[in-house]
Amino acid sequence: MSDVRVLIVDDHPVVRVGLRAMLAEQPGIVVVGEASDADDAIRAATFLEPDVVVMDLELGAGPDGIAAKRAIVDAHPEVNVLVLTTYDTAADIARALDAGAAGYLVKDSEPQRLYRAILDAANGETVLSSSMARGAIRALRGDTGGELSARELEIVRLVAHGRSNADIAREFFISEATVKTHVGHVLTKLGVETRAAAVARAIELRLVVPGR
Amino acid sequence: MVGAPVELLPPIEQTLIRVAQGALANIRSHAGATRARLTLTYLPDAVVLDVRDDGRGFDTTKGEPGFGLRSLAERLDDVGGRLSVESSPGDGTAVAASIPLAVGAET
Repeated sequence: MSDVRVLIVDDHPVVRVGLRAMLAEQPGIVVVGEASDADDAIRAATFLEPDVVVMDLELGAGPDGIAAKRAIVDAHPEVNVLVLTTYDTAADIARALDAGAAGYLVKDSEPQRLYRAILDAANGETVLSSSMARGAIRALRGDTGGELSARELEIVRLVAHGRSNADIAREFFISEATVKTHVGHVLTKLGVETRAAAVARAIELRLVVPGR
Repeated sequence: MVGAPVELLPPIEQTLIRVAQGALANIRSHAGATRARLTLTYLPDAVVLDVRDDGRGFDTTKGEPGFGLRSLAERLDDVGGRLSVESSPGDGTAVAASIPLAVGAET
């Protein structure tokens, strides 16, 4: 199998140099280029024909990583974009995956993990940081979000839109007490203690898509 | 109706019917409502009947509950259930009758 061609996109030179040095030691991977902003990244993806783009979500000024990733994925559907970021927030993860990222890793991942992730991404596999993967696996098993009832799902979506119990009760034309009961069950099933945590968890499990 | 229906014991069923009748009677005689909705919710360990209207409401902090609500609360008490009443002037009334189910009792 030929080497996996990697394009590094990060607005921090130190990160680019570090990633390049680290990946240079790995067999089966060749770093074909670097880009520091979204426009650069889109051009480089065209000229350098990478198999995998390792990209930060935050790219300083200009379009962010999400926009760049969407542009790259649209223009080069064969390129697998692996998001590497400082932020492990559920909303960012959901946005990245929605924009077509092949995977999502946080910057504190071990080098070996990143190396494997690049190879996996090159094979078109989905790569998730371990906290995210745990949530996804639980959801597949139905340990958690999968078992939310239809009503609970409706309610967690309204909670995600910032609606209060009283609001939700008005919407369904039921009592606030019953809404509270549903919210309590949602928290238990998602294994969280607050409404905010429930929303984050629901986004992580892709039960709720931000912005909709 | 919300949730997966399960067969209810006759006393629970009868209580729910009485609560529905009582709450609707209250709405008819006091609320001046244009709309009322009954929602029966099956939960894993309880069944809940909500009756909400868009009538004139009342201040739940003032005075004793009327005879209608009191007798509904007593009926629920008999089956281990609970009645909650939410209302404020101008904002309708919602009563929720919640009755625990003996989970696994059929085994």
